[in-house]
Amino acid sequence: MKKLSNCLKSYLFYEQILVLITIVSAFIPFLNPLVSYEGTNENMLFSIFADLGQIERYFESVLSSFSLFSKVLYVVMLLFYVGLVCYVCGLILIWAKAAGGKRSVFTGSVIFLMVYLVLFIVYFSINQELYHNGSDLVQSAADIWLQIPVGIYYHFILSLAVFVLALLGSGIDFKAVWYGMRLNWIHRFDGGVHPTPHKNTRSKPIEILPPQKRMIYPLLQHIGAICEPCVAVGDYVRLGQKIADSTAAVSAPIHASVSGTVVDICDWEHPTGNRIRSIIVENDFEDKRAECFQEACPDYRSKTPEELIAMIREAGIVGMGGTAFPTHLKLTSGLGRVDTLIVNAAECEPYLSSDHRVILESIDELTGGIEIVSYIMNTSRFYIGIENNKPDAISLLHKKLGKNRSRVIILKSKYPQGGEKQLVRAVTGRIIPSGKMPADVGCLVLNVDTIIAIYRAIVNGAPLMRRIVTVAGHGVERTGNVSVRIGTPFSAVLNYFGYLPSTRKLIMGGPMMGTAQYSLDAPVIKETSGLICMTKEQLALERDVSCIRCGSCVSACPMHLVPCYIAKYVKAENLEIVKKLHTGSCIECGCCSFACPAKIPLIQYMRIGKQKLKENKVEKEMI
Amino acid sequence: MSELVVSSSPHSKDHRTVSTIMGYVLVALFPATVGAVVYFGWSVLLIILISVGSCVLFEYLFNLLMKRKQTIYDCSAMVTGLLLALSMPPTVPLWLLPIGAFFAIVIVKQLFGGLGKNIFNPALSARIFLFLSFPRYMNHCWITPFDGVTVATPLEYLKNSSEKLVTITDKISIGDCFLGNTGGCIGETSALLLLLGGIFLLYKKVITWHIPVSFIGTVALVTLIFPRYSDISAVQYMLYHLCSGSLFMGAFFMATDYATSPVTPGGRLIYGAGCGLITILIRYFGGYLEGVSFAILLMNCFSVFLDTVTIPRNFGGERRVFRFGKTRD
Repeated sequence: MKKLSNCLKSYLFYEQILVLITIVSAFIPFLNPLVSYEGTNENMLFSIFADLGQIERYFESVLSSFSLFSKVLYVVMLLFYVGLVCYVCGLILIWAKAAGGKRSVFTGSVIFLMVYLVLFIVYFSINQELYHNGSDLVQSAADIWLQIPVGIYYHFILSLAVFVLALLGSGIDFKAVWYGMRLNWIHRFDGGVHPTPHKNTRSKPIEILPPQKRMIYPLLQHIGAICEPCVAVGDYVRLGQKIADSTAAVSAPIHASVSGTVVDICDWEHPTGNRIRSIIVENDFEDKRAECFQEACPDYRSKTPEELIAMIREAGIVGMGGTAFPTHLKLTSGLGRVDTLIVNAAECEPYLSSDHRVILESIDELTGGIEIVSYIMNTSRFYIGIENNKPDAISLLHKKLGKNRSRVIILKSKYPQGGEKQLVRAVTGRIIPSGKMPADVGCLVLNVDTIIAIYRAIVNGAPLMRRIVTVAGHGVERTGNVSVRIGTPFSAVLNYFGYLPSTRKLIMGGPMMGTAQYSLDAPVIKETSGLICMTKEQLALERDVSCIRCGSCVSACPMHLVPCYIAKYVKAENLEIVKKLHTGSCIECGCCSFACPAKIPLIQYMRIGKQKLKENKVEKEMI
Repeated sequence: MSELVVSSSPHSKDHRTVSTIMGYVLVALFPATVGAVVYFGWSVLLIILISVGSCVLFEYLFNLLMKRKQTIYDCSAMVTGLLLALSMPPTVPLWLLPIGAFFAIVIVKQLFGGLGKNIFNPALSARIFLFLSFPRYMNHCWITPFDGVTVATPLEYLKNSSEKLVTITDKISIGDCFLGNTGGCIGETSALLLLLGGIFLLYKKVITWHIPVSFIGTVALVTLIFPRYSDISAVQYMLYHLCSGSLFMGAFFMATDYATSPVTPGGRLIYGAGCGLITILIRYFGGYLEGVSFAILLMNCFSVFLDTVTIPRNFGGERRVFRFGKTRD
């Protein structure tokens, strides 16, 4: 019963029914114009050759007496249909060939079908012209249909039937076609932009960066409260030892990724641009493992979900996609409410390919992690949302999942496909109400790398100590993916890839949402998914002219806002209208700034607007 | 290290700028321009050159005198000049063009604040200005393509149908209307060539489908349901209305002008439908033959208002309860 009501709630169900009705109605004579004809034309009945002769005579009369326009139209139309026939045949041949089906029958039926379709349309339009020119042959409107030879109808339907039979017998992968249709029409969200992907690093295996002499552990590597150090200067720390923790609710502990001595606890450059208190450890390169490593627990089913979530918290796991929200909070808030786990493998940011490589190289850990999370959330339904620009990862997932291959939802390559709200809409069709979390619609969205970290924390007992970083851009000699111990300074990572002094902009994360860096001393933290080095040529275009009201930002906004008007009202400081234009639901994806042809920094205006609204709210509450 | 640039995201932007977009519009108008030269001879080229040249010149001089940043490189003045030239009759005296260009660039566009801030479409207002001020040169001199014989436009046949018992089909065929083999403005006679340009703009995503579809669709629907010509079928009557006058030019190039049309999808649909409705009302009941220009100028006044009443519902938001201005509670 619950299943049925869920089914009725999902829009997919209705779309499928609609498709079914459309198809069925084509077979009802009453609804189908092709078979509603009841006249006879005995001369041409069932004879292809008679048809052809008739066509010739038709064309002779047409070419001698009709207007210039009609002649041009017929020639254009014929060329168009010949082109269409070639195109469709080619397409179908490719499909049939890939599937190893009965090609000859299939192609033949398609060609016949198309030829008769062309003939039908040519006859129809000639008859129409004859009727409007007052010819004897076509006297009434009904004659337009009646004067089309019966043979055309007959053969058309016959070839249609053959075509359908051949289609069924050709072994075409209907599932693949269905995937393609879903990709464009169902698993989608409105808005978004198409930046150049630049994913050249996706074919490069993950390398391992050797640990550095001096490691820096900022006490803030997540969204939430800053941690307090649990070690003092001069202490010896071991690999995997917890060095900082917090009692605040929204927080995650931090672990040492090398063994060595704490030399200092001071303010240090942080990738977000501030200076934040950090623990600095001098590495002794011995990698002595800590005794306080969590005990490995491969038999996770013997524990309760709450115990497993506590283990995940102790391992310091945060969202690895870029937001760095503590994962244990996400899991706790979803307990008992979540019926669908969505694995975010979209990786829509240009340049980045770390998630892609992780799927290819750690597929077993990924599937294991999905099982663990499914056990924690007590649900068996999971989907993997992945963009169609990762074909090797998709086929590997298909192979690995076997019977469950339909769990892989292929999505169109479009930014921000990996945004939580957009991903939930694209994969399940559910729309998260503004101001709510995915758990409110029964979804839990976890990044690929987060799931692998969960697997390692529970099955191996290892805390979060490494991060896959994509290094790309024109500012490095070679590009690639590298597994880095958290706490390594950017300079070490970049020098490994040959950092060039021509770099003008260093971005942590992707170019759409990442943070520009002012110093190479800042360390790799839990959310560093990439380091993009841009040279002068790659820098974004400067501001050009004033708004030309083109509406690019309106059609690009995945949250369906009107950035051009919001920017105007933010400039005018009219907060009442800024609030009414739903500025608060902006996800700061940057699509509006990207799409703007006048290069107006719309996203900054949106951020200012959000900030002012927040301040305004606080002030009101104070009063 | 201090050489690193720090800025807010996004760090990469689309390569499309204002001048790219205007360049696309120029490319889209290329078929109609070539068609005009083929139909009405080389003199048309002179008209186009003078119009474009004077538009660019006025923009340059205005910016120079007002000590503003030079804006002729965004190509918008060229687009205005070309649109103005294409909406002139082929017999237009050449001295009229700089007057129109001055009105378009200086009065309608720059005095309002330049590109993006004008309320009315510059080319269209200049056309109406010339049309109302110099009717002798602008309205009574339509000639046929190729041979230059004075002729009535299809719209005159459609308008005068009740008085003169002449069937339009005897004079002009739909095909000729569609291909542009009739009397009319330089670049507006050929619906086919304008349609090609419009499809190019749609393909390049310079314009969205909303305005052309609702504009042309409204005209088609009204003429199909209420034909005013009993001699020919409703479908034929509709096709004559679609292919004659400046409907395609208006729907694809004039009404979709960024600065003067709404930005929201809903606003664009209403705007297009309004343009179509006013067009057909003027064609049916108005004192003028052609209503497209007046319709678009009238709807230009409403574009910001239409934006405010059609702000889309935000993704996952409540039903839209938005109004600009003060709330009543």
